[in-house]
Amino acid sequence: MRNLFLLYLLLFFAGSTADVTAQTRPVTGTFNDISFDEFIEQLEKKTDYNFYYDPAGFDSLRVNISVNDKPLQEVFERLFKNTGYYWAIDQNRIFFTKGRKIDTSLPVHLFPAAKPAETGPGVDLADLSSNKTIEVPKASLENKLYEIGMQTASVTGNATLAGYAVDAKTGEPVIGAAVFIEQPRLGTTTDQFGYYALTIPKGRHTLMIRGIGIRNTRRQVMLYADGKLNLEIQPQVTSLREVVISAENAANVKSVQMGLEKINIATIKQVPAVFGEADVLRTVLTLPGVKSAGEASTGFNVRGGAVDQNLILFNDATIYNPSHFFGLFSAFNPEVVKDVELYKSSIPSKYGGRLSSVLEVNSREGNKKEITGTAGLGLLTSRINLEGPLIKDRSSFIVGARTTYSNWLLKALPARSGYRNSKASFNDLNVHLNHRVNENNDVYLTGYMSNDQSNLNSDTLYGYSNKNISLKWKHVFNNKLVGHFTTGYDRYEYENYSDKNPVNAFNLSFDINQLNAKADFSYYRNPGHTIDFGFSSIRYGLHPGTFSPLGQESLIIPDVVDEEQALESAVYFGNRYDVTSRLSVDFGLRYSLFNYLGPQSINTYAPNLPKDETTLTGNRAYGRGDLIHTYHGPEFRLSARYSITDDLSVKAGYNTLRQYVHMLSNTTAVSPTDIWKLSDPNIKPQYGDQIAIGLYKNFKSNTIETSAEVYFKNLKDYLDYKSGATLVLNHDIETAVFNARGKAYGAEVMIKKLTGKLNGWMSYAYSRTLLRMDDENAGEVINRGEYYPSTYDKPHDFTLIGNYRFSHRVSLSLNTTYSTGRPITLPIGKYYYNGSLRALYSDRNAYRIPDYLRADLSLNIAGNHKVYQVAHNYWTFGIYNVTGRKNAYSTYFTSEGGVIKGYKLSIFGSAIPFINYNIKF
Amino acid sequence: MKFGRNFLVVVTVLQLLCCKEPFDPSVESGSGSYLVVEGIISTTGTSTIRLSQSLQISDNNKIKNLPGAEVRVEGEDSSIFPSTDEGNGVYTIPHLNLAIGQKYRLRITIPGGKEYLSDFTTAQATPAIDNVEWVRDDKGVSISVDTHDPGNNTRYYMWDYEETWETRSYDYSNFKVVNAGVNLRLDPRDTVEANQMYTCWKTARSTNILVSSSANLSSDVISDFPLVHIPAATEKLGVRYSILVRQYALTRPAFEYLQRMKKNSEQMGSVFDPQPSEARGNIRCITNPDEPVIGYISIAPVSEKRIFIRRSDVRQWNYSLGCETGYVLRHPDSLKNVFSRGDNIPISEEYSNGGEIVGYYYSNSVCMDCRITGSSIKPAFW
Repeated sequence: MRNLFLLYLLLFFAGSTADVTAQTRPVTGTFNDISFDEFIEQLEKKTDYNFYYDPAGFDSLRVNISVNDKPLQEVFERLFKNTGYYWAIDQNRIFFTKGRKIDTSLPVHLFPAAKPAETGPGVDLADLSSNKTIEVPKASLENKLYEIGMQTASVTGNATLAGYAVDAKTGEPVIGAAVFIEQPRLGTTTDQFGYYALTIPKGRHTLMIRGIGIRNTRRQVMLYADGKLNLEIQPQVTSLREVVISAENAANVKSVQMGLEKINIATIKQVPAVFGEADVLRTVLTLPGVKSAGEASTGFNVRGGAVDQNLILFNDATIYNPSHFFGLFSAFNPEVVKDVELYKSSIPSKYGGRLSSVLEVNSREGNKKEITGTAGLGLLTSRINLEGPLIKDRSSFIVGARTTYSNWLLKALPARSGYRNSKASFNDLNVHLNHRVNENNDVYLTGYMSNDQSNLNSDTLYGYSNKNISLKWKHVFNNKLVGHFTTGYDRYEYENYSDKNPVNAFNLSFDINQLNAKADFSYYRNPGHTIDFGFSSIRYGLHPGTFSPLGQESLIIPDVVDEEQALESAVYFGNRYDVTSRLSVDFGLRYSLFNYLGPQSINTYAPNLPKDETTLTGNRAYGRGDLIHTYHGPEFRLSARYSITDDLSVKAGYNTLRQYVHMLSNTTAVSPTDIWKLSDPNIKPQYGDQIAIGLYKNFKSNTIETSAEVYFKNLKDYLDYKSGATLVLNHDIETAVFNARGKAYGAEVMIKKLTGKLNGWMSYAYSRTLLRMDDENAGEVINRGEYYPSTYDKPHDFTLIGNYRFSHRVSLSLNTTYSTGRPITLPIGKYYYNGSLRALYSDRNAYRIPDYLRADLSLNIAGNHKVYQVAHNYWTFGIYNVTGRKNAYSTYFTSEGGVIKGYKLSIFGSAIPFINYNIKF
Repeated sequence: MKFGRNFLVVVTVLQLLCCKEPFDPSVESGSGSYLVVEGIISTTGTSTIRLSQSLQISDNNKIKNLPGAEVRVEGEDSSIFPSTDEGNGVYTIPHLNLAIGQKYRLRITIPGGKEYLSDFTTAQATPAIDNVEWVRDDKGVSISVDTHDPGNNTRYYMWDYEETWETRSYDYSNFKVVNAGVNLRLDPRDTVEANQMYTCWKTARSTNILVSSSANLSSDVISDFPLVHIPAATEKLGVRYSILVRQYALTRPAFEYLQRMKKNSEQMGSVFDPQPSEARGNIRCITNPDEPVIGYISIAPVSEKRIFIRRSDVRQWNYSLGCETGYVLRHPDSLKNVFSRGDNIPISEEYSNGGEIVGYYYSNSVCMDCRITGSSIKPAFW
């Protein structure tokens, strides 16, 4: 027989011609304890009706009835009275249902003249509004009318419609798609889970869905009450290599957020990168206000902040070292990454603990429909990624792995090259699982691991690794309140060892561990008002340094710096509110609390004197779990947007932030021995505030975005280093550092063209970061107490990313960057004093290394675009550093025969060709 | 394809670790000649101030002394103490009698007319040195200093020292070479000269900046501050050794200035080295206020203490010169071959059974004449 689904469809097409009140032909007969199937069989013979029902629902029904020339209506009336079975007649079709009644009339207000249908109270209609007994169906048709809520005569007031938008092909959430109605103009965008919630007037609407990567579509909705509607959306088969900067066309003008940069993986993949590896962090470096100290430097500086002032999150897991091979490659597998978001100005109140920025790297969800994968072959690395459903449509996995074979390559070199004993290897592994328990509950599990080992052509092998796991549970309390509960464990460690000389073979290790838990809630009060709130807690455990002998013969005396522990907690509250349609404000408050915990022994110093060995007065020991010191304070997050016109807005923001964990690094270049340090009674947390104002304008129906932002930042208790400070294995690290004050200011201009054959972006930033140390009682006075540039102060920074698409299969990308050279302190002379020849240094950071200029080209060629073939492939050819300029990343001075000589080091000495092959199956 | 791969590999890896190139940061000219002022003004007696100029990095010279300047000490009470130019950048200010607690400054006018002036600095008292001690350990002899200020006022200290030690040559030289040119012959040497060649004294001054502080202590005591370490079995304790330790009180800014200079000169901006930074002393150029001046003027009397250590005081010193004795036949050609260049000195003669000189023992001149490396003039304190 026919199934229920067919029935729904029939209902729809039949609806317009229904005449439910027409009398049916009478029937006569005695049906004595026969099954419903037999009963219908007999009726079919006696009448010319067709009957539709779900036999499974009726197999227990026995018919025991005697009728004499009665209309069918009356027969069914008697038969189904108080049974929970219903019937409906539509012309010559009769439908039987269990539990719900079919209403064969047209919905109220479908046509203004339509007459409300009469339905008995308390009867559930077989519509789409209820999620009590059946799953929320996926609305995939444009012309079908989806009814939400119980049908009522009155359709005044508002109701909230919510649900998920998913890709009809892969089942992955559709993110950042605009879901809106046009009369009145109300809308929202789907969040990172594809979830949307829209409060609109009850009644009939055409729900428009727009977004990048999806086909523009609409759904017909009849909204009676709050309800759910999941949207299944066809992906847009875009022409190859389309630049997609933001999922939201007018987001840069419309959102209250300032200084938010979002780049998706498609864009990242077309920025030429060294050796053809699509590189997440190197693409982030092309954004205005983001710089790195040099080619081989770990991390990045945002708006004059230090490298350690960026919170780097990979699916909520904190990544302490986001790069491979000391910064040449970023440690994120491009095949697994979906997009990155960089908050550099207004940082939402749910984030904290770092002063400069938050970089969120989000991984993709695996394909929920079928198993697919990609593989890539590059000159130095290979990668593979596999994804697919665990339970179809409900849970999926994605696994990505990358490894180098550079060790093998280095060994293959001739001995005279001098690099034969070099080692450089890295690998990373990503696992991401997601499972939809039901409509209201989703669970996500992310595992991440990266390993690095290299010896930089020396006897010491430098190894470091990240290990992260995070578990997230998303719970939809109701259409308006959504909660995310996350817990995770993050670890970063390094281990450097040398075993060349057995007598002084050593192992130097460091690790930082954090166990974290947080709860984040979003309450969508109405379209103009969203409230975020939550709390978080991080338990730190840190081994600042362990120096130990390696092997039996080693005479190294072990040296262990005491373990550190602390607890960092925060509660926050954020409030986004549309004051008028033109003015939106977002104000947030975060209160953070940091407890430094025992066991630990804390040095005390003579008050009002610089902390050093000569002012040490004593030492106090604390036991396990003792509360040694507490720092706490509020952080304010304010931003506002005023739309002057639809494509022109002005935004302003003010932020304060606190940072309790610091990376210590006083070397000017790569350092495999940089350590992290928790704030303690002798090292105060860093504090920063930023005020920013920006102007945003879109041209040519949002295809060209422009923005200009200016900012001013204050830094307090920024850690800088005393001359000659030793940081590794320093038991009294407070004697090596001092708290400086700083200020950073700058202006950023960006122009983006999102579509067309020629697309890309161009950005220019002018920025300064100046520090000041003028308190001789706190440490050394640097440069006579005047402001001095920080080591990453690079005033001018220009980036051009351009792509030209010749055809759907061939595109050319160009990446150009220019920036001022990094400041350095130089020996400018020498003098003889107290019996020795001594170097005379310039003021701190008074000189600069030569300016940085680099251009890269890459050509992407895709195989044919036939949809049905086993595998799709594409090639990337390119040249990194086309001009072959030897960009210095560091300089150093050495005494050769009594003469001090300067050298500059560069990583890349000429143009580097690369080739990459990728396959997608 | 195979060729292509290898080519790419080589290109890639070589370029990955590329490129060390000379870097001349074009430091602005003129920076090579900042004034360097060294010395402590003693409150009594004679003070020595040494002036030099800093050099360009690329300069091969070690020091560029600055003679011909006018140096004088001026008191807040308008007293003036002129100096004598001793040449080579050394200036002495004799007959000083400065009052503790009074303020004085140094005024320098260098040839060319540039004028420099130090801040007014209070003359401080220097406590006496309590003790200069030495300890024999596995690695040699360590010498340290103890001092204290009963008034708890001094807190910051600086030391310098002068080491003197007696050396002995490898052997007495009984003969001297006459006519190293054509008619080379050996004549007996007179004993005065032989003694001078045999016993000498060497002197060395401290080359490190030695500063310490008791700021973290409840009382102003410096205990066992290490000054010098004499490695085991070395020449200094070959016979007898003496050290004169001089102690000066410092102000805190002076201490910090010297501390930083010490740290800066211990390393020199390599890739992994921390960022250095230069401090400003208390001397300014009046003519050009932006010009840095190196050095810090302190005013304090000097406290001195001398100790002696004999070789016999330290167990098992095991020092020897490492020289060897050679033998040469008394034949004009052989003698010419050994002695004509002057790098060998005869020790004694060898007789035949008949009592005739048949040859000479000799050794290297550095082994035989201590005056080459030291002085045969016995110090007054010895």
